Amino acid sequence: MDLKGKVSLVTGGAGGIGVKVCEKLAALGSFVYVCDIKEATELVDRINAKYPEPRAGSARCDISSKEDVEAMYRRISEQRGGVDILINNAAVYGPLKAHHFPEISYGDFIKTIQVDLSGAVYCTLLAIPYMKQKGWGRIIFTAAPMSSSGIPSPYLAGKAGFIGLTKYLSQRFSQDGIWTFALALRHVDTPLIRKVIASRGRDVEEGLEAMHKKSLTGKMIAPEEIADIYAHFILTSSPGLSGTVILTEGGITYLR
Amino acid sequence: MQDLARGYEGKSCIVFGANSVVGVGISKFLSQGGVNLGLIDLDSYRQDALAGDVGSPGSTVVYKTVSSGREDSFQEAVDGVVSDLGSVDYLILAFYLEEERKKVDPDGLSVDIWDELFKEWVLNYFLAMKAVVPHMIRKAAGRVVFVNTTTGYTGEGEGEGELTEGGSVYECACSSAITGIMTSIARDIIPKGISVNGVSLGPNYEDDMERTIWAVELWLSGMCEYACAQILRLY
Repeated sequence: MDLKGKVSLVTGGAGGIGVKVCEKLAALGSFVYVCDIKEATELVDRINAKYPEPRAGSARCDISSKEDVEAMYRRISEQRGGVDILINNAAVYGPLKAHHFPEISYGDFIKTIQVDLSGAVYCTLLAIPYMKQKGWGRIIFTAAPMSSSGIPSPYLAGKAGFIGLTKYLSQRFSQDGIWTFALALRHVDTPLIRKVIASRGRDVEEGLEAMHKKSLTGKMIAPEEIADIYAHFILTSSPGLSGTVILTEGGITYLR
Repeated sequence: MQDLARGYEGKSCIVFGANSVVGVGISKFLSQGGVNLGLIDLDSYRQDALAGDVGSPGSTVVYKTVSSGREDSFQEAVDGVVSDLGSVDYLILAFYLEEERKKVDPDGLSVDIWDELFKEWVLNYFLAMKAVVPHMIRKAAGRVVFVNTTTGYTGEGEGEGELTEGGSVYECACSSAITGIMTSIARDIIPKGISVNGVSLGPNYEDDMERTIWAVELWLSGMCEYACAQILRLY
């Protein structure tokens, strides 16, 4: 099975995990909208250069804005009908400074969770009518474990909120052919994690080494591996897998 | 990480509980992927079905039986498989006692039945691990998948009224115990390069083998290195 004829939308598509997911979905034959806060022209051109027909398009959008998300969906609807596969992957890791309670400001909390949780809800709610109409849809969340020490509360609240969303949407819509899935991730090897370590005034390599030591396997998961797992779910034909959430954190929170 | 759809060719896998519905389904899938198989089940259990028509071109399949609760028997069978296949990369524990469970009287609680089920289910999982894991530790690599039931989480019987109410006591306790064995052993052996994960099956699992195989495939992929001791509950 491949994804020819399917339209995908990947939020945060130009970031560490997003890039690999976009490339994977395009490789499977899907047309992929790369949704990011900035135009993802370079990635779109790179993907399209690999194939005889266009398999990627840029969908610049600030997903924290309802109006922006609505406008993006209108454009997609006009161009390709709608979204078959939605990857809710966008996030801002914040705030980088003053991120501990109670120093964290209400303004920073709102700003972060508006992207990390509300943005995904906007994208999901607008995707569902088309998926219902077609009787087929896949919605995937790049989530985080519900218990992760040291992670700023708005980021964690948003990402952990995906777990409930995944379960609810599956209960509510799997009978319509809309299946959901989430990886609750920690310890992913992306530019973001390096940025976070640096923002705390630490040497990046030392910080990564310290993270390795926390993991039972001493490894960080690579974005390509996440893209493979997403594809593994999208391509399954077993409805019983809808609503699956996998804690993927190297045993840091589960076994310690 | 290996591509989830490929990468098994030439690997060796021991399947305990090879005669169970799940054991046969998983064995067929792996055999088709070019995995060499050591299929093991209890000498008392469905020998006529021993992995049935498992076996595909390019996949070597060897069969062994073990005596329930006998450590020497488990060790001998595993050592024999490793000798025949050259190594063991994967271990699937699928003792799933469909036939045994049907013998249980749901209205009568009996310590004798408990002893029997405990031995055949919980102790045999332990003995299988005890026999196989040292082979994996020696090469600092291996992937283990426990196939269990969701009854330990739900407290309910499984499988369309075969076990209900009181009868579930046996199964629920065994199921949870297996989860405990799994997570405890995982903590000890994951740092030695061996992944440990689980699949918990809910009612009607026989109607959706694709789902079980999907989960097993996931845990045999590189994902197992990050989702340490995670159990996929397939209700």
